[in-house]
Amino acid sequence: MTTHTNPAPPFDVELQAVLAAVGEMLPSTVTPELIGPLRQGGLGAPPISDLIGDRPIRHEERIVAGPEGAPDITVSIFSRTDHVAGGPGIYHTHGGGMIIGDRFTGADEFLSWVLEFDAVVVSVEYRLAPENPDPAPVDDCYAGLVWFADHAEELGVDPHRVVIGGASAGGGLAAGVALKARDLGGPALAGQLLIYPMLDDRNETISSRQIDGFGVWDRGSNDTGWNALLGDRRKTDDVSIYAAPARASDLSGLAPAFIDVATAEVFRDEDVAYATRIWEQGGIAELHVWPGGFHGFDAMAPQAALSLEARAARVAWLRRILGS
Amino acid sequence: MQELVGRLTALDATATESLKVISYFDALVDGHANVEVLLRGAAILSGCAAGFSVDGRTVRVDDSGARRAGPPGDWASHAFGDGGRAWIERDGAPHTNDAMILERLALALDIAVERTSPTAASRRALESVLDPDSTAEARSSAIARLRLDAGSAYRAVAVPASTAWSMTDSPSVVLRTPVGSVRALILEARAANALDRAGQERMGIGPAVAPEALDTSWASALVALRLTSLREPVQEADRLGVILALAESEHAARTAPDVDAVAELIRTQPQLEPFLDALAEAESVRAAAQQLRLHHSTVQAKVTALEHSLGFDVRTPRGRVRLTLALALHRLAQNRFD
Repeated sequence: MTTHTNPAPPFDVELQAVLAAVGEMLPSTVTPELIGPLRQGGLGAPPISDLIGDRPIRHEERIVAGPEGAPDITVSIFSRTDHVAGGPGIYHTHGGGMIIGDRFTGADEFLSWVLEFDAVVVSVEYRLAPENPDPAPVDDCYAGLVWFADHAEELGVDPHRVVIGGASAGGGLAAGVALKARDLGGPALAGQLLIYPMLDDRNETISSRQIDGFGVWDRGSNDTGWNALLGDRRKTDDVSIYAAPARASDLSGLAPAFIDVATAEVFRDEDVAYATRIWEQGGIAELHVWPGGFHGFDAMAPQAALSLEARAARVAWLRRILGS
Repeated sequence: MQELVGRLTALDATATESLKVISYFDALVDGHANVEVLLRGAAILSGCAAGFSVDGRTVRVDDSGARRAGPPGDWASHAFGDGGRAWIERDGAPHTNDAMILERLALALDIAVERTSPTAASRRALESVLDPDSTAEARSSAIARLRLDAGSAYRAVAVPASTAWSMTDSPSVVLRTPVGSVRALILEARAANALDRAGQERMGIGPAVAPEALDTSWASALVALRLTSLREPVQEADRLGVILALAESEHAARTAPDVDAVAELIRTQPQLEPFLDALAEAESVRAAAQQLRLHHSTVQAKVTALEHSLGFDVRTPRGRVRLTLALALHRLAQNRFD
């Protein structure tokens, strides 16, 4: 079947310039062959201690129980050195298309939340596909959340003020964990922060066709990620809603959602649809669609006008949800 | 995510990073980015506060790209547009890519300011009025924008761009001409007549015309400017008469033996130039000698020697005409205003 697709909305001028200047560091299309090189950290992410720098943030690592019958998992715990017990908690699931990244991916932004809200951030090192296909990633993330909830008081966190959040694949995992917690009667969440989340293995939306061969995390990259996670089950009925939350027909009974996405990225339509379905079922969701952004625009160009607004919107939502 | 996608940050001190600067500003210019976005780019790439001033307005951003009030300061800067300057607030020695960032910023600001500022709009209107190739429609809308009165007469005036010019209330624009950067002004005929000629450096004044004929007045003003000399720094088209017509003709550019001879004389003996001027203008050799405060016989001797170099006798009426025209065409060919 061939479908006519209009061109994607244009990039924001400032963001396009950043893409022109530094975009060549990541090819638009991440193929399976690139998974290895990308994991080598060829992009030069600074060590977490450098990211923390001289800010008053404590970093602690724990080895905690993984899913039943699976290996233990590592979590990193970040808190203010002058943390006051009983504050909010943020459970972080990192991005990277299910295939790359680690628990420090996204630290730049969540460390600022540690300072801003005196939040304790727990970031989980889940197993990556394709070596560890579904359900390993989402199950690891769920196990980490259960551990966090069980140890909330020990960590100085009010268990009623725990938000789950992540970007990209991390947003998809956060949504999946939230569904699983609802279905299993697991930890109560105060909110789910879904930053341009990766939700739909089918890759059939208009936006998924519009971003093909250019931009960041294009259609082909999305195929690479989902194929790694789901293998032959991809696009069949044998895909769980925890792996691909867009498959969930029941989105009721979930914690308030914050969803943001950009107009010039693959995830636009599936993310807007997810928010719409939450509203249709009487749920609470806040949706921001940033014009002219590409996938991960605020990370690549944190100083751009659009990035500042996008990040400020997340902070404003967290402030309302966390009540501080 | 930036761990995965890269991030725009202050550049390393390596030359290869300069490619980023070029890609970045090229994309901003292509996308018609506004001046604040341009400035933010320079601040992020340099890791320094940055700013620009143009048309009496100063804009600054800090090293994170956020808008900050503050005076221009005494930083190394790069000129752009008509009197604009941009700078990077680097303490200490400049970094490898500072010059490149500044140059690209200035280039981009030049284009952005030209596109958006009201001053630039009136500059463009002035260009339309002075351009012989403007359509009648463009010309009349430019005349309206400049508020020129159809019933009044105006003169175009040409002065070298390097001349300090204080008449800021008159429309003025610096144009690239084949003889260098020249400032064009439009003055009401009466105001032009009242110009203080004595106090001027080089200036060419075009004929008084209706607004829609200002392109011809400008063409003549520019030729008049090219005909100026130390002795006559201000030339008026009205007073040049047929010399102007000759200079404006396409034949003026051709070499002629008389012009070559004058050029060679002035090149080898620059002190002869005022002497030749005096001979061309004075009523007689005796009058020229008086002007030059030389003894009559000294001048006579020089004139005799000149006849050999020039190939004609400057004491005859025809010889004086030939000398006058040769001097004019020599200046037309030689004067440059860079």
